[in-house]
Amino acid sequence: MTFASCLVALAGYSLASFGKPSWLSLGIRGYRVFAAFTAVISGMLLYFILTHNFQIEYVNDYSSTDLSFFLLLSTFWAGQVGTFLLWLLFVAIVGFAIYKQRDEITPTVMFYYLLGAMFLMVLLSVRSPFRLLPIVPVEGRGLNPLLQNFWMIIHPPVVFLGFALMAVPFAYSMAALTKNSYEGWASRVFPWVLMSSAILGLGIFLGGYWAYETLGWGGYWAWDPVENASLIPWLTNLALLHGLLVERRKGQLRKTNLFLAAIGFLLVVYGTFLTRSGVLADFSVHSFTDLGTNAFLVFFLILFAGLVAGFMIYRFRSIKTGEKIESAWSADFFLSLGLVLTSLFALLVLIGTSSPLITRLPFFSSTGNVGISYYTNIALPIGILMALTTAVGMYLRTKDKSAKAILKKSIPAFVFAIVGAGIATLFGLTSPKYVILVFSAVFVALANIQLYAMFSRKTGIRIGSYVSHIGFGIILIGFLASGVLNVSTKAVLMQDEPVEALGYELTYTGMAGDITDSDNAVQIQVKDNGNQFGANAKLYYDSYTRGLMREPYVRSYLTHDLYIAPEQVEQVKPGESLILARSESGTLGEWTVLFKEYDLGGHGEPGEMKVGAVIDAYRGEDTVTVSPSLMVHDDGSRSYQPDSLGISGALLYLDDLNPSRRTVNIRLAGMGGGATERLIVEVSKKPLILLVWIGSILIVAGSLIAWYHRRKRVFTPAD
Amino acid sequence: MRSKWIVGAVIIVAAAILVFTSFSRSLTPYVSFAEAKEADKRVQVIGAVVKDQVRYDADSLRLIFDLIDTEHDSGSSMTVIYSGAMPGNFDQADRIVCKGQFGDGVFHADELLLKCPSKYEGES
Repeated sequence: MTFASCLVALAGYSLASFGKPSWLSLGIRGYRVFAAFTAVISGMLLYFILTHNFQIEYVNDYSSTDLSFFLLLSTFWAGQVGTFLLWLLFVAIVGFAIYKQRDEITPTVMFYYLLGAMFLMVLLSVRSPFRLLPIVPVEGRGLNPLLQNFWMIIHPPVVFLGFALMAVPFAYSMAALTKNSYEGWASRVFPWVLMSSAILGLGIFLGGYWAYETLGWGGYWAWDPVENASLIPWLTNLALLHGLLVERRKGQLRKTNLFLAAIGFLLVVYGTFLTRSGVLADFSVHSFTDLGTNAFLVFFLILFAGLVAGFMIYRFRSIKTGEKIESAWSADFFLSLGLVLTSLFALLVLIGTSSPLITRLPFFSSTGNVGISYYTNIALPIGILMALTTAVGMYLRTKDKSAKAILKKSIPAFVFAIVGAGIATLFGLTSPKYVILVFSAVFVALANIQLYAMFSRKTGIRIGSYVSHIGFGIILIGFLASGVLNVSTKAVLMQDEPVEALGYELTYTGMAGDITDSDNAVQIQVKDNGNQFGANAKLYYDSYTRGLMREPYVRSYLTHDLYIAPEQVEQVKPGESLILARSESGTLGEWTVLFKEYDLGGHGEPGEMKVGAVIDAYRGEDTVTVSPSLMVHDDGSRSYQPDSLGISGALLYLDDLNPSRRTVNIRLAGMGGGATERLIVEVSKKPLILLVWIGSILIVAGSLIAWYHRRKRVFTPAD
Repeated sequence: MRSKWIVGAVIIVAAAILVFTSFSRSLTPYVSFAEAKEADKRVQVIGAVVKDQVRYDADSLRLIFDLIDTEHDSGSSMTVIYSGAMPGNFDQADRIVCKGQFGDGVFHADELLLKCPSKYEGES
């Protein structure tokens, strides 16, 4: 039904845009029905999730009755199909802000915008979220514990809202190309570009924080295809944002901007293809597997690429651009340079992300994948150039543009940037490339602070751009410090024995509960210059995924984060041990021991299985027969009951047994020879990571402020 | 105008060199276990971890596990020594990708990528 109504809307809008205005109302009605149906379908899925209708395959796959309300809500987008529906829902909602405008171009814009919706709808009709199971399970399979946290609730919706918003610049660009009418397109699309930058940027940063804070990957960014798939369109959108600033004034860069606007959405679709089709299955941490939608993904990719390429070539000569940029010493030139650098970075990340596909070409001997060093190698010089370009470009927005005047204005920022770079060398950032990056980053941040404070009233540039640029400088320093100056070490913590690591004294005091409790944690007491605190890092055995779940403990200081990631808890068993088959004997210390037989007679408590071993032990004249035993409880945990070898205080433990080989593991230990635990952790100090979060927030906040100042333009006719 | 082209050309040439060297240097080919044992450079292999054979080398604190080739010549296996931090979801992984180099009878991995079972589609 939704499918049909969208088709109707599409038809209506297409006819309306090609000279039959009377069809417009059909388009509008079609869109309204489409939006209503999308809302109804989303509501239905949500209803089935909240009422635990496990006959719905999707509900069964991702949720269970023990989830809290908000986690239950988040299972809506826990699977691939659900994310498509969420995306479609956002497309439907965002459309309301476009379709109300009654200007000539809007029907055409809506046509292309709904073409994007069609893409999602086809995927959803291939793989419906409402597929039924032949049986009705009593309980769902539950949500992967990795996803059971606050970030799962907030991160995916923000990213998909960002993706939905990315379709808007595409639609405006294609509409302008179709109509061959470019007057005012830049001002119309500009608020949308600001908004999509802000939202997609926020989504990316939230994902990074999630990875850092709970997943225990040790970092916030791994250049994984799924991460890159949202970074690349964000970058082209950023390039577009700066290109539009040039175009709005003088009409230059029009072709570039039309291309960037169109390609942003194309890259979103391409990213969806890369991460959802399974082509990267061997190269990503969390790519999705193929659900039979590949052919359609490729079809739409080719369709959209063909549309963009076709119209760009067809209209290329007729697009009127403004006069050429007058000189290389102008704000417009530096804006263009920034655009080139940003697009270049997007292109290089795209090449890296596509490397598993590129290396399938016959030109390469074997398929492969680029490592993280590829990305960091290109990010460093481009980051430096972007920072310097931004700083100089912003100075060129002031009234007196002569080199001399600008040099004079930039002296304070310049001096402090040199001081900053000097300080950085004291902390070990001595490599010239790092020194230059610190200089550039401090320079761009201070230049923007200074320009806002002293010149913003004259230049008329609103606070948003300054805030984002300051954030850019700050985040560069954060990236560099937390990446290059990160120190980490592994530490073995024997229970109750303090260990020194990176200037902290760590003492493992045991587990908070049982290893099978989902809120179990390893408890570590940390001493830091007389300051003492408990560090509890989650570590538990998850029966659902049949593995240990680990979450790091993070403590933030102003200058660095202390990051303790638990790796393994092991039982340490003191004394000597031996593996014996039946009727076999061996030596343990002063004792000769003989394994006679299993003792299966002793019944344990309800809910446990007790196995004993009957063992004869000889020492000189002494002969003792003992029967240590091992209890296996229903939840898989074990407990041990040693047997005493007489007055010497020696205890014999039965540690393990192998029923197929008919062997036992026995161990001789003194009093108190029960097992203790040892914990292996990775301890890291991540300097200035706070700057990464502050920078992220400023970049997003700046884009939102800029949008706020320009939002009114959405509803006014072309200017 | 000329300066614009010069700046543009310089950026493009510099970028091309940077990309080409970076790309080829950090490209790790994706090979079978047999090929990995022959290779004299950094490669990546994919396989399944033998779950109850994961252990720590007590002295160097390196993770040691056996990996079974699930893709190319199934059944062949090799021992992997990994020196980095253990990823939080190590035990959840079905198959893992190990990047590193073979030497002295074992595969020395410096980077692990975890493949989660497809039914747990990770989202981040």
